[in-house]
Amino acid sequence: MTELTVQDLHVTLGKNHILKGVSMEIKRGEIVALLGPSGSGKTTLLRSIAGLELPTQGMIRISDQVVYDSADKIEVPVERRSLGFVFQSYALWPHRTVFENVAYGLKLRKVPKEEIRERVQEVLKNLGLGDLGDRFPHQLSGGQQQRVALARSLVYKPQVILLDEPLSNLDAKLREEARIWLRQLIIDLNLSAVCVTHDQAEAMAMADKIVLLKDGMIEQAGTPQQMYGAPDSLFVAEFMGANNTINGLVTDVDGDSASVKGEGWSLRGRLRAPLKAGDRTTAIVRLEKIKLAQTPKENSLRLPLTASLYLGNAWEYVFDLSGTTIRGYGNDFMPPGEQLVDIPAEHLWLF
Amino acid sequence: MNKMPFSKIAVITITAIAVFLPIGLLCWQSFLNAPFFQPEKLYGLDAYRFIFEDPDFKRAFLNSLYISLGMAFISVPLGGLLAFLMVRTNLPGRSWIEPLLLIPVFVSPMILCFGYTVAVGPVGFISIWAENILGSVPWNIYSMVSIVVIAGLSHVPHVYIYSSSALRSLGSDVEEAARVAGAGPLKVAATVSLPMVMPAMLYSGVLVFFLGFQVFGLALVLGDPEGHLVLATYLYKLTNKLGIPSYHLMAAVAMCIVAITVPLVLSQRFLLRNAHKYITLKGKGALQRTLPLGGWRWVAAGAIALWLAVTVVIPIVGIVFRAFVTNWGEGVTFLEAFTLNNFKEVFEQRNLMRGVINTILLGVIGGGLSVICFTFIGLSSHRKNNGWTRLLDYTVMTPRAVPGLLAGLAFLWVFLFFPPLAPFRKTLFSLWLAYSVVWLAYGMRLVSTSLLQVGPELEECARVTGATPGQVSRHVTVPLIKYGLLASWLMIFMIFEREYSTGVYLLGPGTEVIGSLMVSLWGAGSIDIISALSFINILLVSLGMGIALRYGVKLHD
Ligand SMILES: Nc1ncnc2c1ncn2[C@@H]1O[C@H](COP(=O)(O)OP(=O)(O)O)[C@@H](O)[C@H]1O
Ligand SMILES: [Mg+2]
Repeated sequence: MTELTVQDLHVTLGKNHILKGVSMEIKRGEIVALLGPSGSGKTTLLRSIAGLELPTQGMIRISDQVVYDSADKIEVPVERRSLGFVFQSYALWPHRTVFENVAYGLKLRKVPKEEIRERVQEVLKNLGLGDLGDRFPHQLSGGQQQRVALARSLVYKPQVILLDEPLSNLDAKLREEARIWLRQLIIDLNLSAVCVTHDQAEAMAMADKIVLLKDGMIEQAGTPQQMYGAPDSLFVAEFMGANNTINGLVTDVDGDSASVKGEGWSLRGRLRAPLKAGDRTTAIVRLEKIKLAQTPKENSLRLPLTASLYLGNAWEYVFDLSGTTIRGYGNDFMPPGEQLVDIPAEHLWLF
Repeated sequence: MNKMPFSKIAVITITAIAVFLPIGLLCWQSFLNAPFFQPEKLYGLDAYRFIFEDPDFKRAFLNSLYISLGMAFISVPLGGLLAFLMVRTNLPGRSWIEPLLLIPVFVSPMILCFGYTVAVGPVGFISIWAENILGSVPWNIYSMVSIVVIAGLSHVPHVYIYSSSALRSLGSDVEEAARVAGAGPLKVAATVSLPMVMPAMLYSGVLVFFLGFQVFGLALVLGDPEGHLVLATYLYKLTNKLGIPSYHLMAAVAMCIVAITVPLVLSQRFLLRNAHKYITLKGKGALQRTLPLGGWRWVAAGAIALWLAVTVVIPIVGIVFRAFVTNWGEGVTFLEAFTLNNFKEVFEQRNLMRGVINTILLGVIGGGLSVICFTFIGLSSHRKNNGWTRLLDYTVMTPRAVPGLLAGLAFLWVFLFFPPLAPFRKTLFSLWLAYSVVWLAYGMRLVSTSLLQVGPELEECARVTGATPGQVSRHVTVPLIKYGLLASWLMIFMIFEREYSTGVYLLGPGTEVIGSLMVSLWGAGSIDIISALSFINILLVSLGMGIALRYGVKLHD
């Protein structure tokens, strides 16, 4: 069942056309990551869904209620959309205690006092904030504030929860723990969630589905595996992972595979864009796909190793391919000199 | 998100009516040849013709112009210098100089001028002392030059307020960047610091220039003895001059003053917009290094002490002293002349006593009510930007162009003209309304400064959680600015205690306040009672300042 539908949404802020026709769907229980570079319109999309920005065109439906429709002139006010929203800055009300912050949504819904007490206590306990109810926001650590913000938006049991970079204010270590914890929590509560992030690793770890925005339009949407393993465009390929980028010339095309050649080298790769012989191409290969080879294979090159960098869990090799830097990982230190490098054809994407 | 609820439109409309109706009435009256409430009246320019042909009007206009120019030339450089010394150098005693600097802003100029009269007037304490030493008094406090100089010196704080906040927001980093790039300290001051505070200086220059055209109390007290009129005192004396209340003439003079000040206020708005250019450019702000002045710091401190002595200490000590003596003159000693009779008289005369009580009521309760109104007005345009909020912007700005004297006159007429309002004319409500409108711009600035400090997400988050816009205001916005509103209340209290000109035309049994009583008593020459009232008024203002200092309320931004 579809929990949230956005259709052809256009948003203009000031004089800038920010969202230029965004459509997406979220099913019950699904976690969707809204990914994109800074300024691509992620926050704007989230705020439009919540009703904090007024779109100029399009349709938004939450469960089976249309909350915005430019054609039918429907605009449900923010407070009646019954969503959970976690702000990037957490937006905890400094004049209220943790308990009062969390209880506010229930109070507005005229829940009896006794029940408010129980439900707030329960959600605080679930989020590991059990005995912090009497504190004020400024007496909490960043991680605790983030959980209070979450508790506040969960306590009135919204069907859909929107999170704007919920982890970006935590330090790196905490962030990695928090994303596991947050994903589990959303699944346990059987919520549908839209989570904005600009970190592709976080998006892949947390989400069932990723929507990648670029300049106010959806560049590609799909599962993390699709997004990482089968990007539709150069932008997606570059955004989703760490790559080697090689420029060359397509020499011959055979179905979905093609040969590409540069100064003193030639490789086979997979076509990911309609190219024909004679076209310039940008070839992309993920760093982890570059391997040292013992014996020459179809797609191996003999390249000078210019440096080996120690990363702790691996060594990073830096090769030189006639002026282009090629990087890859290995387990052992390698002295500078010629090495045989394998670039698997099925992982060399030609755009 | 941008729809205006009816309640907000209502608030904005009421505010606009409260501001524009009285001014509209003044304007209409100025084109009539008889009082507006008389059945027989004709439209015409008679009123303007009369005043333009009156040589007194011409002299009053020129005097106002001299005062404005003098004020701009005296207070802008001195205020800028003072700001630089206070913000950027290691001047000794900065923290206790700061509140003293603001005394001329919070103490009525009437009182300061009474102080000058009793201290350095022809038979003042200091004059007599000077005469004994020098043989004659080397100054004439009632000359036009003295009036201009005193007006200029007493408006230095107005310039100081704007320049110092501009200087504070200018971080040392931009200056240091210029130093690193190879500019010497003087070059830095001339090419970086000065141009960046220039908009603020210009802004305050325009401010004092139009305040110059609004000068009333100062010219009334110091200009009277030698007959120097300014526009506001010309208006005030029109009744005496012709023997009958000549409504259309008063209105015509009022419109002339407004015609001068409105463009200036509008130009300030333009300057302010330009000044914002620099705000985005400003450095990190917080970190500021002070410039060591070396031996010069004592010279600077001496100059400031001299300025404080002339503008604050002499008049205030003078008037306080005078409040406790029967009379003063050659050969009288303080102990012989000491008396509490002046105060006894204030407490015994019903209207004076009512004036004191009304002043307190108006400041405390009226001030509180005003802040509540200002808060509603502020909330009505909070985070909105549309035609209504632009209307409100202009509405709020307009009273700055209307001196209190004119506003009081206009409100008197409004209360006369609209029968449903007539019963309120002789109550404090009429005064409160006039005060609130006259100080609308000031009060709104205080309130909106607080409102702007509320993070927008805090309000948005409440909306998402399920609160209506009204609930957001009640549960989030107002509680968050609570302390800001209390501070605003205190500031409005002090301003209402100080106000003297707005009540002049509204003065009547039941609507006496210290300020307007002093104006009318000055006409009767009762300096004994005036001194006692001044002392009480100074006490009230000091009480406000004391609370502000005690609780760390910022007296300016
Ligand atoms: N109130 C506004 N008025 C005009 N432009 C805005 C406003 N808010 C954001 N923008 C612009 O909209 C674009 C998208 O902003 P945002 O949705 O916050 O991006 P993201 O969250 O993806 O970083 C940015 O280029 C930003 O400059
Ligand atoms: Mg964002």
